[in-house]
Amino acid sequence: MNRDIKLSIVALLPRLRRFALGLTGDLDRADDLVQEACMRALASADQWQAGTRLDSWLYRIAQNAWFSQMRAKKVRGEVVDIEAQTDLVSTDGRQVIEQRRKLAIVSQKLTELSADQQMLVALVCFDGLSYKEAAERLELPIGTVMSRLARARVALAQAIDRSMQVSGERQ
Amino acid sequence: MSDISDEMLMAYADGALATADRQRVEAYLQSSSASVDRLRLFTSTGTELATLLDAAMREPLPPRLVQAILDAPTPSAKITQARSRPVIAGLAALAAVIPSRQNAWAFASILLVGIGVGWALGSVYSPKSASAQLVVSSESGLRAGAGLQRVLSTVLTGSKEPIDGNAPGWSVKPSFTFESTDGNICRQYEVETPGEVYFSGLACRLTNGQWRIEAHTPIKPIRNANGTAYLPAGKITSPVVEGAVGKILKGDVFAPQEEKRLILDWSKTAK
Repeated sequence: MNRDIKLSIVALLPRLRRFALGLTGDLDRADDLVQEACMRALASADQWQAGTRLDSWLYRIAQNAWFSQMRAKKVRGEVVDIEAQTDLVSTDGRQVIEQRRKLAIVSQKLTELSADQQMLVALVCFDGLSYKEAAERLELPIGTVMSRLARARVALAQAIDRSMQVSGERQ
Repeated sequence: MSDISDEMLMAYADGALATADRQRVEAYLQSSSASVDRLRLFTSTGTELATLLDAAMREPLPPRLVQAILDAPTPSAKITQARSRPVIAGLAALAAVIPSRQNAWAFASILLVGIGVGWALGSVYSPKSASAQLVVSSESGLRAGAGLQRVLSTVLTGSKEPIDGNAPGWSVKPSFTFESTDGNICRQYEVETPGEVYFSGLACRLTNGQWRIEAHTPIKPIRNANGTAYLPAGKITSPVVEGAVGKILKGDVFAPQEEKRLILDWSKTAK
């Protein structure tokens, strides 16, 4: 059973990594988060019920792990320096830098949403679930999912726009 | 036309509307420029965001992440110590934390602390013979011990090599090689130990063939809820070492062929 769950987790890694990338805005951090989530999941593998959705369970663990990291950062006062990405000019080119900068901003602004909103955005916008699938996953009416998601996306997009403007003015 | 809700605009942006509703939204968009602005809030968090993630996901999944999962302990198969293997930080990841010139002095002071901590932990956690194989103190400062000296002088990047037969479980793996701003050849390396302590370091080769230690710091593994230690898959080198590299890196890291040629030259010089 343990081998089975490990193989199932490995099969989910590309999706879980994309989900984590949306949360963290950085592939290195995403890989760290994925590993932490997988280790947490495997440590409590006996709590997972066969037949239930492993991906939902893993996403929830990854999200909780991310929240823990965010809380720890607040305590430590650590700040993500988006501008540091400009150091990559010589190796990756401006386009990649711009993409990374945007992803970092998305990740940063995502943390300003509530936990439920973050999960909705992650499921639909990062993982590509339909509204119906997200509603089933979260056991909510589809109308509730759509209204909450629309509010979350408006708030997120406006926050990103503001941040991009400020960041663009600094450059 | 004002009955077009945000939910409907969002569904339109996500391509989730049936034909009739889609046509209604399109008519609405043609009638109002404000509605186009509103729609953009959903495209920017929909297809545009997905494209952004797709672009970033082109980097392949680290094989060690998969290995770490396959090797991980589970509740019914208790293993007291689980270690994933260290990961070589790519230059892109490295460059992200390279300090600015203004921070050089700050990094210099951190570097000294780093060496102190690394040295102390090395003494605490390692058998004396293993520690001496890694870093030794000399009149001119810290230099590589015999084991580290041998690995840095003879082993290609990415190959893990035991440092000494008397220190089982201790191994060194060069991470990459580059030329420093003062013309020396430098190598970043990783050290695995039998315990749950790892080290990352940077050494530069002097004209007499000795390797001078520029930085050497412990890497603490993360502990999960079970108390099991593991190393993060994304990047394990320390900011101290990365900062030291950033201070002296000239150009790019060496390609494998360039590195082979160097090692061959060093072996000829040593004979």
